[in-house]
Amino acid sequence: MAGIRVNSFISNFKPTFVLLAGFFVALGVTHSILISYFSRVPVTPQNQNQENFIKIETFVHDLKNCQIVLLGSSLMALLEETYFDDHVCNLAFGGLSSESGAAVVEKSQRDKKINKLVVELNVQKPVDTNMIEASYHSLSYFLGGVFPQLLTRNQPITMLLSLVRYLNPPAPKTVTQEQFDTMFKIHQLAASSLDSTSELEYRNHLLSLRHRLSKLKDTQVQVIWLPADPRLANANGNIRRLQIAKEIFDPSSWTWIDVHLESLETTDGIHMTQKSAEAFSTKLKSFL
Amino acid sequence: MLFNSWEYGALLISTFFIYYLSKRETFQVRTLVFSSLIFYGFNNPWLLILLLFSALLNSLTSFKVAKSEMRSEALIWATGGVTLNLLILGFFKYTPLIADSISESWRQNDGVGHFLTQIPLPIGISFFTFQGISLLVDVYRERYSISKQLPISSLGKHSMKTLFFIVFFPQLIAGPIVKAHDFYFQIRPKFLKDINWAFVIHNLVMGYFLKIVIADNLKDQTFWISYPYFQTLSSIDLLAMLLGYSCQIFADFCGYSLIALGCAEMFGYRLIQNFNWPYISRSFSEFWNRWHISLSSFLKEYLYIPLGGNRKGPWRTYLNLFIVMFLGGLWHGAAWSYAIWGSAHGLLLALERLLSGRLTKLFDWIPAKILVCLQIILVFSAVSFIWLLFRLPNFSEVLLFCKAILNNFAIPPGKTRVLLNLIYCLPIFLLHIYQFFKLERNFRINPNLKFVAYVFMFYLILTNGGNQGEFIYFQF
Repeated sequence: MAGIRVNSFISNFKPTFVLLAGFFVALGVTHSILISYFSRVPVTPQNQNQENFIKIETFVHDLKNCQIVLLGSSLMALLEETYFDDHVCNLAFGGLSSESGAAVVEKSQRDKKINKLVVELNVQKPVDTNMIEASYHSLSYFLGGVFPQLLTRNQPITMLLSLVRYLNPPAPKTVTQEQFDTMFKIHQLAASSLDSTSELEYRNHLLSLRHRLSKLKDTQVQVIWLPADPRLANANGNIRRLQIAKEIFDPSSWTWIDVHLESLETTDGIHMTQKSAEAFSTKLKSFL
Repeated sequence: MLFNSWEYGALLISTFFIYYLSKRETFQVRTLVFSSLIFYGFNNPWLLILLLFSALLNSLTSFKVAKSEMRSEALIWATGGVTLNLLILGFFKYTPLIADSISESWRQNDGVGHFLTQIPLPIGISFFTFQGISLLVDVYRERYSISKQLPISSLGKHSMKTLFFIVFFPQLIAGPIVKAHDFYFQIRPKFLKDINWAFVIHNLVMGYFLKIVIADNLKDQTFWISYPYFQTLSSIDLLAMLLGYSCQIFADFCGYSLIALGCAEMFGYRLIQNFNWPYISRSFSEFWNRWHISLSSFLKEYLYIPLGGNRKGPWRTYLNLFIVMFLGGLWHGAAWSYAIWGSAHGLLLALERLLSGRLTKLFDWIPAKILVCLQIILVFSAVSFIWLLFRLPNFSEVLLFCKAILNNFAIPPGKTRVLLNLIYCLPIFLLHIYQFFKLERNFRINPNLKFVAYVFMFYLILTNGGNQGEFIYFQF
């Protein structure tokens, strides 16, 4: 019975196999045409994770000539590459921190010549090894250079979303007072003090980051402390974090960039609004 | 090892080629056992100790059950075996919950309390423990039955078969929960020519599509259900994410089960179908006949019926339904929210039974087709809402989420988030609608069109996968 089933399936399948393979190729070709047709449409990632992957992919596949690289967390990720010159790449990852970006740079060190790294120190988290491993063991990593259809930035749904956003550009992100207050309270609680465990964790992450950065040869490293709402920036926990950062990245040995922004606006106390991010980037440009 | 990893692909292919090198049952079974142990111990080999202990415990006790001369002796062995299985499950799964519920001062010290809250949960323990229980009960029942699907000759052979039954990798970590009487009779020499490739391709393509394209992408959209982020989102976003999570959990678990079925078929084993398009259910009882079928049938066979089922009057039936669903909820995880989730389903099942006759009379004026649609929407909405207890195991956060849904209508919705949730939910709805019309109207798609759909899904698997994530049911 099973044998009959298999034979009938295979005999049914054989004539259609060529057609199916043809359909598969046709899908690939159509996709490829759409990619080249919409190449000027700016990519809108579907989510934060995908945004991180696209950044790694752009960096790894040399889709952009990255001479200066920004590393950091979601705070730094707000500084869009379009605010800078062409040779500046932003490898700051939302949900992560500078060390994940440093790990990517480290992995690509043999193939790339990076002149300068600008490293944010505010937020420190462990390296997301899963994300980095996934990026370096994916089909897009091995075949993305030959088949651009496999690149994350060219995912059909991402392309569709990018097109929708291109045709209907969204208004700059605004938040209601209630939204601001909700998130601000949470950040305030985190910034108010730094318990011994969190302090130890923060210190260890910074030490690990420093160790990783010290291994990068022929690359100048500049560190930066991003501004926040004064009520948070002057909170005890944040003051302590900054002290630790200055202890580990001693200003006499490491170059600190000090950018002053007159009127800082944030969406939650720590993340800059688009307007502030652009103004901050313009000032930062002069230090690069 | 994850089904959606390169390592798994390599293990599956190499096992497949080695497996069919010989037509001897012993060789084939040993090959699968060896691969299964690699699969399970790949990330943490220490976990193998418990798995092997469970297999040893179940093979010895079930052998004793089968070979006991007196019924009372067999009963003692069976009860002892089941109790030990439950103790193992209880120790690893529920001790942290109990320890957490006891006073904080007891936990804070570096003593027993602290140790108990730190016990790691071995992956898949709920699944392989239930399979062990199934073996013991089935062997005990079979002593008094005419049909013999579990022939037990020598301890050595039985132990190898039991080890294989417990560790068979397609179903080891997240099911389907296989019952002994559905599996043992399948253990025999297998031949390449017997593989139903149509079944394999259907299950693998559909399974990976559901997991990689739908569930993994929805995972990043529904991430914002997490506390405290959801508090700042609009009601529309929250509802869209709830819908997204409902589709995500289905795609994730159904996808896993389909991959398991496809992989098992490659080695000549047919596992139980775990999902039958649950979101077209018209009642909660129908939902449980379509969702996680292997668990619901296990609970029905080994718990609900022994408790008396519906044979002891209506109120006892309601109580039995509630008990089964409460325990079924706790089976999912060691958190009170899972117990509440199970209890909510138990209550709905009991209420449905209690009111079904009256409701039918009350709504008989509504045209049948509209009534069916309303029933499906009602069941889907209630089930989706209760999934929130899966996503937010802290009950106070669930209440905050509900509050946010009611209060945040003034916040403008994030169009992109809503759009993406809907885009990734669409295939799930289309598949369910197709199944609905297939059942109701005997609607059939041209087979060639089906193949085209598979090619399209395969293309999306390659080009539109989400960020690789663990399967939700791994945590259970």
